[in-house]
Amino acid sequence: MIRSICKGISLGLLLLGWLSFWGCGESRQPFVGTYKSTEPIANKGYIELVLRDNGEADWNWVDENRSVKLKWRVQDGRVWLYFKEGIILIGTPTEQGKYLAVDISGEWHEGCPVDKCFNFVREK
Amino acid sequence: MASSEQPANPGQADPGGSPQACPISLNICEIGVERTFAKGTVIVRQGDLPDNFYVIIKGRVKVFRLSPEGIRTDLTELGEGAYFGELAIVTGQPRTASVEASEDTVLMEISKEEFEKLLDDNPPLARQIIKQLTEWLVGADHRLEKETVHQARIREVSWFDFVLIGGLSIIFALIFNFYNDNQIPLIQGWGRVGTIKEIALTEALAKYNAGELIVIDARKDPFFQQRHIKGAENFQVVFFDLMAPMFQFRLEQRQATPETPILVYGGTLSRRFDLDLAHALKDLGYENVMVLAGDYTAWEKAFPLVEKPPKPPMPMHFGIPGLLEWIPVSIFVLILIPPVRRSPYLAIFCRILLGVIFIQFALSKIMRPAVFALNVVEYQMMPAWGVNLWALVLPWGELVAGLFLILGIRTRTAAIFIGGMNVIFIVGLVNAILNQYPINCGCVGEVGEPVNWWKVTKNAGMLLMAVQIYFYDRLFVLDRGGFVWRERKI
Repeated sequence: MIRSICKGISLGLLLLGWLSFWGCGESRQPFVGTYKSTEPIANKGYIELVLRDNGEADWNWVDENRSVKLKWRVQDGRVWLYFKEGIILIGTPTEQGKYLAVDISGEWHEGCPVDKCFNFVREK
Repeated sequence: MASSEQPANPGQADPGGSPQACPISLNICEIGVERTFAKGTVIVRQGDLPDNFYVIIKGRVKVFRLSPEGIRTDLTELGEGAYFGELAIVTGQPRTASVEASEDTVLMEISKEEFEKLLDDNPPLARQIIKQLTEWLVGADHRLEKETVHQARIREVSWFDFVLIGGLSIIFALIFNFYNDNQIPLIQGWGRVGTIKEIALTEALAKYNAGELIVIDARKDPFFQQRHIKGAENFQVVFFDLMAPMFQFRLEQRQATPETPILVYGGTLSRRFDLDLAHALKDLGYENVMVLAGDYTAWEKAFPLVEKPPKPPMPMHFGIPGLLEWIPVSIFVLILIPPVRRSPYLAIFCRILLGVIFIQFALSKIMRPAVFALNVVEYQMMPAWGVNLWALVLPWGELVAGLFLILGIRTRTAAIFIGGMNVIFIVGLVNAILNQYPINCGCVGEVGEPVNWWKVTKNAGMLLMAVQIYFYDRLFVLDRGGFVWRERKI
């Protein structure tokens, strides 16, 4: 019985290690910062996107004084933005993260579709 | 089991470990030859014809059997003074077990002829052999009964097992959601204050034809592109928080005032989209927001439509998790070979593979239940009260059942759970394909996973694996030892 328990614990630890391995994402560090849309959106001013190191972020309509909290992570060199409604926006960084093209279709595309793309430039 | 190699220990051994370890009273050591066997040497091989009888002078030996499938069962270990090999000589049968030196061992080897002569001349030895044989038969009966009980327990599926897996999944889901940064309400819209005005289809159509109505489609863009009411705006409700100023701008462009009648349509069975958006617009100050009364799909038949062929999501590559999903398809080939189909080793392979796949499924959903809840809504098979509960509990069910399969705990019940989930997935996928829903599968990844027949095939393969486990799994079952609660009457 003790052997069975030890076997179970060992397997459990192995699984935990494996789960931790899968749970680890890519480093957020290169993309941490404040981004601003390159042009006003729909006559309602600029959007500011603040990406923090702890995985939290803000999506601010600066002139409208409206802010939305979100989470973010990096996968395959792209920035994945998670909103509480369940929608995912994928941003493609260019020029070492100076620019961020956010696909607002909510779907996955190789790049950022021209008609569904918000372009951001890094400010800080 | 015939017992030519069954162990014997008459209890007359000399603990000193010298040649005096022979059972002196039986006079057998006077005629043998002393032989030494190094650790690991097989002294007697199962299936060989008997030629010698052995008494252990010093050291230890292990007695074991190998099944035709190559499964080794250790029967016992014998020490100084014990003897073996006599019954095969008496019965003339081939050896039915192998004996291996588990350390450097000194044996007294007595030839078959010498032993038979000794037996003829030595009635106490003959009596001793008969006594041993009787004890083995009784012992074998006990072992057979014990093994039968074990097998029955392994194959037993009780309600407790279902309660265990289901209960653990629910408890983990609720606790995790409580502490999760990305937590979702257990029931979407529960406790929401205020109601949305409903409008009859004919009345809405009359207003639409008179140009008195702003029509807004609340669904996601792929659904809107596939089919929508002519002239409708698309405000995806899931984007509302994110894009509210943009939506407001578009309403301003349509000269909408707080009193302008606005019809929001495009709900699902869960009514998530139209009702949620209507409430959000009302909160924004638009008082005259309405949804359609009755059948939420009726607009498709009544209003003029703009339609395009469905556009499934772009597929993305999932790396190892994506590759793992291919393997279940191989089961269709393997089950064509009957010995493989029934193999307990195939069951172990299926257990590990299904376990890994389902844990992977679970991990992609557990952290962000809102993403999966949106998937559930899009399948359009779940009522509003069940969407979030399903999105919270299902991934934990996948995780618990997957872990149980890998660890060998309640494997048959875990296989039933996973098989059941596969049936549900197959029904959902087929329904989505037949209705041409442009949705993500929500199987391995969060996005970029179109629903297609290939997904159905993979799920069917996984279902078949669960069935194989149910019928043929019997090796490396961890709860056989009893550390998991298993006090049940057979």
